[in-house]
Amino acid sequence: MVEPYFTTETGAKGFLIEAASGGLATLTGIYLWSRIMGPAQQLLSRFLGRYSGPVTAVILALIMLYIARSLDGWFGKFVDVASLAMIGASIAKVFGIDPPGEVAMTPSKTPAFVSPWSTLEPIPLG
Amino acid sequence: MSSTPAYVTITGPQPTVFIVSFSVAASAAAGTVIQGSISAFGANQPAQSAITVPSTEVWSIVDLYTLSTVSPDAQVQLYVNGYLQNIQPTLNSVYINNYSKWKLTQVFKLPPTATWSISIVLLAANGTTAQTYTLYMSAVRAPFIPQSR
Repeated sequence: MVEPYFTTETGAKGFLIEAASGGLATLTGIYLWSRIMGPAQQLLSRFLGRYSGPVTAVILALIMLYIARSLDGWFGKFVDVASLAMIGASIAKVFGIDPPGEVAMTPSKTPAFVSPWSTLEPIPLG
Repeated sequence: MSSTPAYVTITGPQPTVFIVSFSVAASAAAGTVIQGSISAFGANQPAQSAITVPSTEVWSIVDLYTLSTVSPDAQVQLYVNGYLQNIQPTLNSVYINNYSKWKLTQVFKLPPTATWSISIVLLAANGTTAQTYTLYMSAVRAPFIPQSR
């Protein structure tokens, strides 16, 4: 017997509220997560490499979790589940599973080719 | 639409030749130092004894050569910002038809805003007639792009 989480209602109504809330919270978490990944990857890839997205998502999720645990009622539980979904998605990401809807990471700036004539780099002469 | 007057500037590497002439006085003694007169900006600009590289450009000296041998021979001295550089061939060693001509092993970079000049030191006394020596410098002028990081 699974303990109800979002509501104290029982029966079909309780099941529906549980499923809807849980599903919505999970989707919200994954949606937020997918929005975070691209920008975080861009901003922090210099410091954290390819894990910048997941690491940032996990940190944000932990902050959300901390706030959620201090909130009472349905909203607190909602945020709680959403942040857990974010953590789960981040772990999946580290293992190479890309969830749907992830914002495509724009290619990081590759340095443009600079002619050695334009720099102080030595140029050997044959 | 605003109309901007065109300011023509360097957009990419541009090969050029700097012409340096030295006036050797009649009966100049061995060891005489003669400051070169450098034509770096083309024939329409007056030759100067010292040239300052524009702040937006970097210059690369690729080769030094003369088109005729000289007598007496003289040693070339390149000064950059007042410092003597370790490129000191003699004029006859850079004669273009030498079987084994003196060569630079890598380009000599003149950084932005560097002021440079060239002198020669006569290795023997000149004869009774004044002469003019000419040294050619193959160079590449290029826009300076600072390297980040």
